[in-house]
Amino acid sequence: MRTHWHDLWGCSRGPVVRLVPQTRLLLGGAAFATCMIAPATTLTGGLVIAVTVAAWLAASRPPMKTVFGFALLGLLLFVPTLLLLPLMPPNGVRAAAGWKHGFVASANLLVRGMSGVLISMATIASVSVSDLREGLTRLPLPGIVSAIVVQIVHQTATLFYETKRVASAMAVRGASGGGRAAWQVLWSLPRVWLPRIVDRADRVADAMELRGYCEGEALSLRSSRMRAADWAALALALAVLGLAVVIRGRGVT
Amino acid sequence: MSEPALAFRNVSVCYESSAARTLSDVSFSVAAGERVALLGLNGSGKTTLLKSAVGLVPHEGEIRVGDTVLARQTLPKIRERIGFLFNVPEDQILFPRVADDVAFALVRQGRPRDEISARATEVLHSLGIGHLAESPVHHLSHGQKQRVALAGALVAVPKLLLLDEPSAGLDPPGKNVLAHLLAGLDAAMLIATHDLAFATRLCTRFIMLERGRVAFDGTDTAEVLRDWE
Repeated sequence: MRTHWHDLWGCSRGPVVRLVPQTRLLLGGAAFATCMIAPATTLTGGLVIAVTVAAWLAASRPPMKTVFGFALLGLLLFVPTLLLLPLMPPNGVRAAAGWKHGFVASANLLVRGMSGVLISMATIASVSVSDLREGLTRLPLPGIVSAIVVQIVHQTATLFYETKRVASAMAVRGASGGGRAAWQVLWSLPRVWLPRIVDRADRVADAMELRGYCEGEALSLRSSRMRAADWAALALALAVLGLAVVIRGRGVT
Repeated sequence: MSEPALAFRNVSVCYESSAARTLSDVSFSVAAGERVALLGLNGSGKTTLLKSAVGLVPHEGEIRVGDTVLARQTLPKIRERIGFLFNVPEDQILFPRVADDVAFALVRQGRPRDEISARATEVLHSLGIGHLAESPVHHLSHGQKQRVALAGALVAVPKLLLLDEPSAGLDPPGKNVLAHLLAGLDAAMLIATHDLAFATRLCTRFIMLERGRVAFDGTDTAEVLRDWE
């Protein structure tokens, strides 16, 4: 069975799921920040990034198929930046140095991009959408922010299914077989599909208004008290983040 | 005599995008505990009428819910008293987990956590979907979503229920459960529906809308059926 993107939420089975949702979100955020701060093209910085990504993947333990899928996506997104190397001007330095400079910039982008993709995936896998809501509610964020973030995730899944239904209808009505009919349907799709999305957005806005969704504080049903394991995990994540800051600040290679 | 649960007096609604009035000079009332079916062909104004009762569309004339006149200042108070079911259940399900969505009205009221869980579970069981409490809503069928949305409308025991096509998408056993459940409630109800069998089983009075006007308001089902056909 195919896995859709929203099935990714909460699909991990690693030890991190035993922590409360807000801790999982904070750990994911700290891991992401570590990978963005540590210098990607030095030995120490690269090691910190590699260990952080590996540790977060091991703690979250999403399905291997998903990990490989996202790794492939990251490669597809960021490896093509290497193709830009021949286009980079030497910029007054020797050609070899110019190439090296360009390669370092591209490698930097590749390492950061790949680590960002993998950590985001593992973070999403470690929280279900309900956990996301719980976690955001418990964090010191304005209620409206968590309400809107959760609604974006929730409604995106709804739209995904709606798009699938439209695609099925197109297939049944002969629009996927190519030819003139397919072009005719494809041509009219934006004029049919977009107003549907706008209509749906209107109706959801009505329901949110009527149910008082964005009024007052976002409240939570579940108890999510942080325990010793949560504090220990956060301390470790902050220590690694601090290490990344120090390595960058002092220019450790 | 007690206040009607809902009263429309010369209510008209005109959308900005349309020159014609969607509702025109509509007057009726629903007594406390009364169950009224709102009938009419597609585009006759049933959904607009329900939406106008909760201030989702601007109106002219007077709408009263209990002793309160609908106005900008009274909207929150009025909406708290009403259980509303939209005609597309997906639109009003705002939480990814069934139990969270159903419990939302009680959470907003600041009720104790244990009470909220117990009440949400009770409503879900009464609608035959107790086993779905922990399910993600995206994995539910249309009929199941319809029941989740209904549970969310019923959970706070509102005095007035405005239901837009509540039986749409339900299988025959589901319709039976729903009719039985609604018949056992004390709330006044205004039920917009095309399902005459469901309406005649549940309601004691019928209002027929035709092009935004009340064409019939009475209790005689024979007359309703004649007009309908």
